[in-house]
Amino acid sequence: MISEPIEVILAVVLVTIAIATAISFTKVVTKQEIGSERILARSIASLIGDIYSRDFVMNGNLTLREFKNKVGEICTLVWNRTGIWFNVSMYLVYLNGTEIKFYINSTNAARPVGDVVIVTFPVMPGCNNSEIHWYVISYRDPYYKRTIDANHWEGESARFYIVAYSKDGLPVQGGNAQVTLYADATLITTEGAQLINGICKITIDVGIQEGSPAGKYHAFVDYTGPNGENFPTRELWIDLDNGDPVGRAENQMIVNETTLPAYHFYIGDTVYGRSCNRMNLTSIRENITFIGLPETLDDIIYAQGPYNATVENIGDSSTRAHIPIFIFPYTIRIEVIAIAPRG
Amino acid sequence: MKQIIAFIVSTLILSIYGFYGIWQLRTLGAEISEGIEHKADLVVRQLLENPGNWSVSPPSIGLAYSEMGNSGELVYPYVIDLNKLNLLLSLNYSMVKAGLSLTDYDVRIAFYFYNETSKSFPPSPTLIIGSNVVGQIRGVRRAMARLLNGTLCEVRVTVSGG
Repeated sequence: MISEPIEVILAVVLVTIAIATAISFTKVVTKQEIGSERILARSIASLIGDIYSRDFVMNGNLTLREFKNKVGEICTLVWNRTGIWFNVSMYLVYLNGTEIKFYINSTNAARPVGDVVIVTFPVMPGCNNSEIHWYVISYRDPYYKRTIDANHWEGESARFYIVAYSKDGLPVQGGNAQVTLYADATLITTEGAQLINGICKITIDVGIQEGSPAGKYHAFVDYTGPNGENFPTRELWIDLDNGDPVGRAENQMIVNETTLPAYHFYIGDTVYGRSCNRMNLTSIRENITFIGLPETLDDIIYAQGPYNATVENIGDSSTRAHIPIFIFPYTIRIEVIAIAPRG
Repeated sequence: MKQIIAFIVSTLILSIYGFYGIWQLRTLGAEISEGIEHKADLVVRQLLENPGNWSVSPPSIGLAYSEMGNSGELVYPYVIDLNKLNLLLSLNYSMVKAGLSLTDYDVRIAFYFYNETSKSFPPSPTLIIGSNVVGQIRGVRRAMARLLNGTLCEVRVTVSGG
């Protein structure tokens, strides 16, 4: 029972000391917590960068949607374990320095109020694995043929693209490719070419052949790496349909803004089509369909590496052609926002 | 009246001493604590962001996966190399402390490996390296990492003493 003024003063002083103590220690604890959150956010940014570069870009184990889901799972997992809410975004960095931000995913819970820590982490997928990957695609499938007379037929020129790349999606410099073409079992010819910047095109003029028209082209393709590496021969069967073997020629092309045929693009570049207005892009990780041309490569889905572009004029399947393109490496910045609810 | 004045004066003196004492304790605690927190930060970054140098004695400890190629050494931060983790397990405690430049501190590194089947982390660490004794003044840091095969892992580093 407080009965004297002096006792009131004493009580006030003691309470003030207690409050001051509590306040001063709370400040230290908060500072420590922010340091801890910064390390955790940094580790998550790095972890997501690794998942992006290895699983998404280099191995193609994940589609973009699966990658985003994986990021959401990790954010929620860490939230359940630490009570810290995370939000992940990615920035595409163009050659000219422009950046575009894309939201990836966040913790599956309402954004709390609290201290915010923002960590950004640059990512550029790359590896020292010099293993060469290569493939061949036929420009047309099917090619056209026509009967000239009882003993002659004419076939469309066969065109093949040979693409060689390393695990990180970069083009292999050099190496030689060779295509041996048969019409059914009849040898047409063998042609070779050197790969430049990961791609080469080999054209085989079939022209007029004797006998009854073949049913298919049969191609054997070999690639020798820049250091003499040998690989198993690839084999392709391509259908021959009745049609004009000359008229289609090589009209469908992917070109750049100067209208020249192009096979290499950076993120932020625009892909144009010649005699085609739509394409589907296939990579090791996903199929991106119904892309109208021209198309600017300004989406996070366009990761670095080789793509097979199937182009055509809408409504005319005879214009369909397959052309490889490389999207060159670019920088990504991963931003992780960590919010620790306090109050 | 004199007694009252004497009481007030003595209370004031006591209060000033009290505040001074609290201030000193707070500063001391904060300094020690911040030092340890900083050490814990450094340990996490050394452990998980660099590949270390395991060919010297004591080794410079780092668990980040790395590979050599034509263009140099490529380091994958926060990707744990199991071979390096096994090397770390084979070290005695004084070597662990020396390898992490923590001669005056105690350190405890706990690994929690994510279980894909149960979709959860284990309640207790899968692996503990370092001291079982943790002092009252300590810095604790948590970081997420993964193994080369993609297994998620939480690494909890506790630095104490000093």
